[in-house]
Amino acid sequence: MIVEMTATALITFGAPPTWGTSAEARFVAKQIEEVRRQLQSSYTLGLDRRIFDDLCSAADTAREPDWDGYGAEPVSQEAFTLAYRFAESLPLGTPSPAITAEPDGQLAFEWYRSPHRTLSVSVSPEGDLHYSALLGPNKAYGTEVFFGEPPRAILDLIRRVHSA
Amino acid sequence: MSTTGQLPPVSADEPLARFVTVGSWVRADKTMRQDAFIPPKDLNLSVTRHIRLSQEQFWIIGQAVANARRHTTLFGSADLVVFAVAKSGLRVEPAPIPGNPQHAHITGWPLDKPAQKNIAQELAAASTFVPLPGDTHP
Repeated sequence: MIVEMTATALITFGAPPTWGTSAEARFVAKQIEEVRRQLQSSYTLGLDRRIFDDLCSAADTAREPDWDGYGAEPVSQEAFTLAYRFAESLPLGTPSPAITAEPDGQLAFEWYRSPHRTLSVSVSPEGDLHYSALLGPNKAYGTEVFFGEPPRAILDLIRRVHSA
Repeated sequence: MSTTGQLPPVSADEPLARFVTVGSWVRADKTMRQDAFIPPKDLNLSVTRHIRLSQEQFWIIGQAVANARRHTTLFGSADLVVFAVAKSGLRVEPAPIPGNPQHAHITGWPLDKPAQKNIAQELAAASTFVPLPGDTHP
């Protein structure tokens, strides 16, 4: 029951980015994070484990220079580590993205409904999240710094891509 | 091949091809991902003009592109018209190279990554994936 309640709370997009500064708050935050990790390991709740397999596969494809035949840069360890952390940070219930490598060696997460309703988020080795979305006749793009939690702007765009 | 000689200036309704050398550039529904159109560091995105090329000549060039520096696989081409490029504020400039007189660059890219991604998404949405004849990938 406790786990169910915790999961329900966590499934909501945009969990609070901070958990307070008291020892108790930090303990609770740590416990929640642990449960979240366990839930994300589940095949029935949370992100599909395939996201992490896809991440490894994308990085592996792009591990050598010029992996695309057009002079692409390889994915660095820093880029992979930050992309992994970004994947881990996604709230439970987030639709699973496709993951690919880009010519500059960054890994990109794509949420897609149609060619004109799609979001791509690139994770740079410096910790920047470069995002761009096509939302029918509208578009949105920009950069957010990744501090361990997915920025609200990106979570909102994921929701907009997948909303009716 | 009759691919050499003076080629006419690039026209708005002219088709271009971006040879697809990475399987993940194509989604399961056969639409193109932005990844195929993210520009390289020098901001000159390589494409090939279809003009004066037979289908056979076109795919021979594609294979040469895939084999040029590294033995990547040729999956097909992402085709789009010059008008779609111009609509995104970019230009197509002929850039002939040995073995590919139809080679051109899509230029005029913004410097910041998010804006590049946005244009790449638009170009991907405007393009059509044409699989390599007889190929079952991706």
